[in-house]
Amino acid sequence: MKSFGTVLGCIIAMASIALSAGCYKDNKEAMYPSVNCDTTNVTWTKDIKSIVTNSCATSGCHDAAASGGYNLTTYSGVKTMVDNRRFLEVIELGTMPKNSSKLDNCTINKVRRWINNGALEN
Amino acid sequence: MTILSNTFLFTYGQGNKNDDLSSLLEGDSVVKEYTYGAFKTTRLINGHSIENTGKGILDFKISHRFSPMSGGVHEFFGLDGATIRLGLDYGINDAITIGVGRSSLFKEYDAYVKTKILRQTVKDEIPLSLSYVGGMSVSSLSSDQLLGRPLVSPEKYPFSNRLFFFNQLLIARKFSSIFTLQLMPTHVHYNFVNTIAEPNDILALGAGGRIKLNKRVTLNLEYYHQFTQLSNTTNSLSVGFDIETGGHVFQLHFTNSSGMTERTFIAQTTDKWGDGGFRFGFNIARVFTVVKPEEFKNSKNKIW
Repeated sequence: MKSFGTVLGCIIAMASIALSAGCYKDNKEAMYPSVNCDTTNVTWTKDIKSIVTNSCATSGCHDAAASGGYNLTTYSGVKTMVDNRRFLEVIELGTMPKNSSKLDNCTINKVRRWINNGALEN
Repeated sequence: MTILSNTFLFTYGQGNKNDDLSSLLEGDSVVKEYTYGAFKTTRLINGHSIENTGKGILDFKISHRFSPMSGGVHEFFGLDGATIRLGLDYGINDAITIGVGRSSLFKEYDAYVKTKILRQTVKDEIPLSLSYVGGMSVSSLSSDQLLGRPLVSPEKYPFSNRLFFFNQLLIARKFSSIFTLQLMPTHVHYNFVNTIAEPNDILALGAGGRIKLNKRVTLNLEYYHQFTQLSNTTNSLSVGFDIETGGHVFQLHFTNSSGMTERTFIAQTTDKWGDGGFRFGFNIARVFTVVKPEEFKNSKNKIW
């Protein structure tokens, strides 16, 4: 009976986490519409750095240890990839970020504009 | 003469006893003899097998999946990068196993319950084994990383967006000591997906099995076909060997999945075998006996 109680306890614990947080059917497009898709003045510090940090230079991927083959934690690492013409291509194809959906159009447009403007460290 | 008659009586008596025993065995009251050892361990390759962790046993699992072999010599054929899952499985009783784990991919914590519903018997009164596995996982990445951009006020990133659930049935039949086949109908639920077009519920059917090559080694295969899927994902295909070395089972395999939780390997596999997107991986386990089995309760043997 003791083991049955333990099982019940575990199931209740898991169920309560699930129920308290709830079961939803949300998506990014509807929940977080691109509020500021302004591609007129895209800069490394204002826009691109955070995109790369959040989507590429994550732990186990393109981090400082270059687990994924390339270190994209620095501007020079990103610039090398841009110069190799691989950076935009893999993002546009959706090959990267790996294990994740393709980046949204607004983000890709910002990256494209930044590269077309010379991929400066501005 | 006395000796002869005694021998005869004794033999005759034995014969009678044997008859009684056989009649007992053939009777309805006989306990069903279940098949065992359909697989060497509780994991087929990435996913669950029909096997449970024994009662009172704590199983510490260390699993690695390396980067794709397509990285070539520069990446040492993928061994330069790895995703890791550390897990603890515990057998509450012979029918129910619970487990928790932590993966480096998506910094994900997971928990599951696996319970036996039917067990295949030797004489085929029950022709197959059936188990249910249900679980959930939580990604602890920052909201910026999960969203791909910083939050803009007054946006919030609710905890529910980080949750994933799965329900799975394991249907297995051990056809012989050499061959076992398993089917895994699976439902994966995402609370939060990227686009309106993508489904929150992914339905998949897994199929797998093992062929015993010799006493210590089996060849395993595992494939999950998705009927609804997220964009840019492909089906997971894995092939591997289970190698038993006196109490330990080493699972060495090649797979195109880098994740080890159900939602990551069933619904978020992105690499393709054809493009060299398969990688080497392994699962190793260390077993601890937490609760002394009943028959050893009074034993003074130090191993208990």
